[in-house]
Amino acid sequence: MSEMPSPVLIIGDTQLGKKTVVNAKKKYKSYYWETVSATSQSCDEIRMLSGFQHFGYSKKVILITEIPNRKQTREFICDLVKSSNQNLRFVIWDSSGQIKIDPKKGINKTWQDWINSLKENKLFVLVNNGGDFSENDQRDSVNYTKSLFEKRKRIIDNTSAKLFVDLVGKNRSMISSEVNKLCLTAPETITKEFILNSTFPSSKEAVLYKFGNDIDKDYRSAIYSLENYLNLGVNANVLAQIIMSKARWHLIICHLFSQGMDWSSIRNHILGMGKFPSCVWNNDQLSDSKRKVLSSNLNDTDNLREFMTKSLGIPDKYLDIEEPKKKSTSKSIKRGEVIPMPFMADMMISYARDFVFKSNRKKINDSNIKKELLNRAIEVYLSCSDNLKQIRYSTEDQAECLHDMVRIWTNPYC
Amino acid sequence: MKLAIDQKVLTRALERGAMAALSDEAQGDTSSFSCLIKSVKITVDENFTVESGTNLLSSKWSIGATKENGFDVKEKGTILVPAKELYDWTSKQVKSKIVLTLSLLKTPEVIKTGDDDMDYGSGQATSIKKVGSLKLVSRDESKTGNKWNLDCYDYGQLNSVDFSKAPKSIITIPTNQMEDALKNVAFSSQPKDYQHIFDSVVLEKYGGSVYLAASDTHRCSIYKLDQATGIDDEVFTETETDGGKTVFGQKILMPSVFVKSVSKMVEGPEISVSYDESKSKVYLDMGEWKVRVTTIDSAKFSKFPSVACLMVKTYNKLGSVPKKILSSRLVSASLVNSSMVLFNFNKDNDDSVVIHAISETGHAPNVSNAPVNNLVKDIKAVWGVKHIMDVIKVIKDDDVHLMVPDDLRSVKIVSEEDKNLQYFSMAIDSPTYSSFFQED
Repeated sequence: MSEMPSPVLIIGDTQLGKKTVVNAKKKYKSYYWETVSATSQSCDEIRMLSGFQHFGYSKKVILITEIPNRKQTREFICDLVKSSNQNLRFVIWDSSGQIKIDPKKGINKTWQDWINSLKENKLFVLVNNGGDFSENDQRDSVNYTKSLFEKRKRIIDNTSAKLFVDLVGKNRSMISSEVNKLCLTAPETITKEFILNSTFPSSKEAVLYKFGNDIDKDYRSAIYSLENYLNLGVNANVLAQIIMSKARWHLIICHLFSQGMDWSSIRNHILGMGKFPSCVWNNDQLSDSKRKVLSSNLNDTDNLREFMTKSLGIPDKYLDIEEPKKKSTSKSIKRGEVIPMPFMADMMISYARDFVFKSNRKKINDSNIKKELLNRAIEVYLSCSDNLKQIRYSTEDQAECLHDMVRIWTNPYC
Repeated sequence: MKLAIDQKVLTRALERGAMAALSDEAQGDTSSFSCLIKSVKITVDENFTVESGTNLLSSKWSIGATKENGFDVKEKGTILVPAKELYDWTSKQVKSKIVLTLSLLKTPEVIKTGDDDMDYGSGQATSIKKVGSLKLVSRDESKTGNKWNLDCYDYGQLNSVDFSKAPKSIITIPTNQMEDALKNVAFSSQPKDYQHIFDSVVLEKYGGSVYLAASDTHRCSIYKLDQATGIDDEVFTETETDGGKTVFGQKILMPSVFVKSVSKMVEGPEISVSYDESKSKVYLDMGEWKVRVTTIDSAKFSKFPSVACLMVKTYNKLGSVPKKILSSRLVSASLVNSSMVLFNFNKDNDDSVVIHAISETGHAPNVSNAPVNNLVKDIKAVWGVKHIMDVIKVIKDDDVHLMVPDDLRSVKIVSEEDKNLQYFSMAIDSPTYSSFFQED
């Protein structure tokens, strides 16, 4: 076994930090591990515990946890670790996440200076488990996910890795633990379907998506899921909004179906809806990647103005809109509601086709079915809308209104 | 089941028989079986038996259900009821006669404690059968009282420990001595150790005597059980030292917190200890009351300081400090540094010890001195304040008798009043006091 480094500083994600500590305890089990808290224990006490000799053990590790954001404590730790020797090792673990790691700027100056002074110790080792990825990040989180799968000898492409991050969220330890879990059963090449079937949705959006998915089932399962989310403390408004949004998309789907569109065309159509600008997203001549690049450029108001005047030929004066009184700090355009991921569109189509359409096909003749489905979708939409109003403006019968919304949504019959 | 029982007798029975169900471990249980784990099983036939159990602790208390013992049995039977609720209610019905009546349901009610949908293969999805309710009625001297009902579960769902299958006793310890020993050693164990080694007390045989010891790795208290009898030399083998070599004998580790609770409540004259090494269980037999505690695998507690290794080391007399004075000086010193202080024993200074307390938290240094009787030599050492204070609290002597080895790596405190007690505390190597050593 190699010699244990000292001092070791563990920073970044606290759950991954915990794992690092557990692994270190296993690796260096011949040492006696003494855990101290730099917040609740005094410097004198920590100094005493470091200085103690032990019955039964000749070597020990002092694991310093809960480092407070205090200059005196930082200086004390710097001084304490200087007493490292063959029989006394130090591990400093930022268990309370005081050292924030900004995805762009890194560690702030105060903590960086402290780390630099710890580096003066010959055997210093820094274990940086990294902080959470920023909300806007795409690349780093996807790369991190891919690297975790690759370490476990699994192949995953960018799209599937992105889908995985969308479902799990941007928390590093959640990603790591979900990868570990998935790799127990994962095939060598990981597909989108495998991710969809096996990943537990834990990001905020994905959890809500799960509720949306649950209510597409039978009444009993839908009510069970509703009660579950209410018990977990999810706001009734949020749940009502999800059902409302589903009712809105369902109405659009039924409308398109009544217009004679087939199910796969409807799917593609709704995926393009709400995406701005429509002239880019609905242009069949453009590839998906080109659409993304173009729409991303046009997200800026100045670029959009130039595009509308120069490419579309709209006179400049038509665009002289009065400036808002308070200038918004963000120059990005507010977007309409979109379906964030293709599989969600598949779910919606599946609800309309396999649940509603199939349930009514035997009862209603072919000539009337499209009209009846549209009528049902309108009724569902209006009833859900009424219930949403009740939930928003009254707090007394929120659960009752939600039950009513679920009842309407899960009754497939026209 | 129907019986009348004295409140005092029922409280006593529950304190002992329901010890496992009332323990923090059982009361904090959140598994699907928590209802059962938190319950106590009461059986009434010729005897009145109260039993409960968890993974760590099982307890059974049984006495004859006779009028002399305070029972009036109308109908025999067995019940399984929530222990804490029954104990709390019983303890409040002071000086009352309590009537327990089981009222059975026509069909047992199934209480679902886990959901199939939530059972991810753990087998936690389960159901518990409620078979009836136990009616509790108390009546005191004023002919008035209190009535209550408790749910009664199917007692077949709780596995009982068969104490008759316990291995044969390997040592019998008089209750008084066990109580004394625990009072003198248990404070040295850690309050909680996730490996359950240093929050335990150990029984070890060395030099023909059996010792009870506790340690938190920095200190160790040892108490000689000189009144112990019935020692089974075959199972309870002795640790032997030959020159530098030590051949370890059988050590028996018992969780300190349980053994302390048992010793406080034991009424019989002695405690018989038996040990099942293959299942890592220690059985304590106290006549009417039987307890089984789970200990860790004996291979894993080799790190527990061996009594033999401490006893074999040579310690020389240093001197003795009046207990009251030393205690007062340490309290003053702990205002500055409550963890460790430097003891400077000096013969030139009229046989006294100067106690220096220096802190890193900004307090000014504190100096105090105390007389030392029969000081043998000049030494300087840093010792833990709490470690010295703790032992001062338990020893009955007027003076604290100190002994040190040649390497000064530890200090031994012995009691003249109770020769069975020996206390060892390790010295501290601290740069805070390094300037005192550099003077030399």
